[in-house]
Amino acid sequence: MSKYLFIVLSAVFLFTGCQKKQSADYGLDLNKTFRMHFKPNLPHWIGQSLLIPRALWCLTTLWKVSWPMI
Amino acid sequence: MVLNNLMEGLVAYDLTSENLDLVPALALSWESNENASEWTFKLRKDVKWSDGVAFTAQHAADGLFRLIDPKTAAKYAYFVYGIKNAKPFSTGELKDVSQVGINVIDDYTIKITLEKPMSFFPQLLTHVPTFPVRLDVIEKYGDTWTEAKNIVTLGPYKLKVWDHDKAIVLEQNKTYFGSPAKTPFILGYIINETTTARNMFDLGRLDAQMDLPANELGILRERKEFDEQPILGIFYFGFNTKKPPMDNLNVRKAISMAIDKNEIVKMLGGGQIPLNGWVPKGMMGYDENMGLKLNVEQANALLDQAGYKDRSKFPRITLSFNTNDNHKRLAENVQAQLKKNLGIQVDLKNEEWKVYLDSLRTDPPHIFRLGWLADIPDPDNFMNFLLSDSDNNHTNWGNQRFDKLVIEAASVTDQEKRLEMYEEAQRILVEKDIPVMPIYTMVENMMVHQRVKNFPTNAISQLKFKNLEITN
Repeated sequence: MSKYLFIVLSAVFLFTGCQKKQSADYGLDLNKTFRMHFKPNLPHWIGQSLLIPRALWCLTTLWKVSWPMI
Repeated sequence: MVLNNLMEGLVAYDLTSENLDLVPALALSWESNENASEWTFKLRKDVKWSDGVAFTAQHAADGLFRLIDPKTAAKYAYFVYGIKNAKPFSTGELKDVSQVGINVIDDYTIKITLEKPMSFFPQLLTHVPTFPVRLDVIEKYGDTWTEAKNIVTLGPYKLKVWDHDKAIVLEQNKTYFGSPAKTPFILGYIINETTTARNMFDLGRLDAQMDLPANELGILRERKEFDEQPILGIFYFGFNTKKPPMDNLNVRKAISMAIDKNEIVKMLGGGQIPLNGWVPKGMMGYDENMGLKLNVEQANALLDQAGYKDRSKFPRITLSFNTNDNHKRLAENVQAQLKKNLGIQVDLKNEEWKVYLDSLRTDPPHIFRLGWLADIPDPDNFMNFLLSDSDNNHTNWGNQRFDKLVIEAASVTDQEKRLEMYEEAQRILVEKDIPVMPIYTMVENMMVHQRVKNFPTNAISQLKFKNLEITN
């Protein structure tokens, strides 16, 4: 049961972690915020490559938390 | 864009005036000696940085010294080479910094001595690289001094969040010396794909988008949120004049005369204006009759003369551009035109911006696309980055006469005389030596939501948000 919980939680955590920044409003009151498209200065792949360490960190943390249950 | 909202220069443009008049910013007033070779700026006494430290003339001087410091290796150092001894100091030939013509007279007065008279010098101080800096903060934090938690600023906004490659949040600076910014927060999403940004706009997650997807302009143009603004900017192709066969002047001329720029702007559909001269429409020195015109017959004759009568002997050449939907479409159009009009094969290559710039510095391809947006609304700005010693000149081309004309014109106060000098310099670029091939004067297309008031459009594309308002 705990294994399944770990897998489901991992999937949810990873999915939301990856999506989070794309839709983040940084806790701002949107009625007082002007939102605009900025052009990137850095290569696109750098942003994408950060997903890998992010994912590894997520998995490691979850494993540590879940291990006693498994 | 970001720094224009976080910082201020000594002077600024009145972006609402037709001629972009200069107005006071950190300087209350400025004056020159009789021949415009010495400039004295009197600074405001009520300015504080975001950490509470008072702004002084030393910060203004530090900004200029840092720009020309060889250790900074700033790409824009050449921008202030008009200051006395700035160039030898920047290149390391001069070690004694006291010989450079930047002098702090007192806490609120700075005097700049120039190599030669320069009537437009104050305009240079509207440009971000010349802005004041805090050396103590840079020394304390090193490479991370620009992070949100470390940076100190004095403009209408503060940097609240810099989520690298994702977003930037600016927050109203309550200690700003001018009238406070009207919108408390600016959230800039860093998005590579223009279609992704347009989707977000349609979903109501963006209030404005510039750099619209070219293939949708026809449809977007019909919408009430669409707006356009001609700007002092050009799109051009550069030739690596040392890389065969582009080292042959007739080849460069042939290619320039085989491209139908009207077809390109029609294909892009963004209102761009075809350009054969070098300075953009709307700027002093623009001449619609200057430059090489479309002439396919003569272009083919020039290629024959270059030794390529048998087109199969013409080597495949590479045309590079930085990754962008619009640049790709334009490059494909040029590729097709050169195949059809000259019978030559062109390979296309795209790279991400930073990688692309590295390629241009180390080994520029045969043909590369670039653009230039006016830092200041003066033809000097479009000429001096092609001086033979400019880091922004990737063509491996230099011409002593061109250098002389551009350097001397900057110090001529008689506007008619200046215009004559720039005309000759332009003809060297686009009629005689052809290290570059101008394509069009830029027009900024944008989508701005109806809830936004006072969106800051202007001919030099300086996006300053302090007067922008959100109405709900």
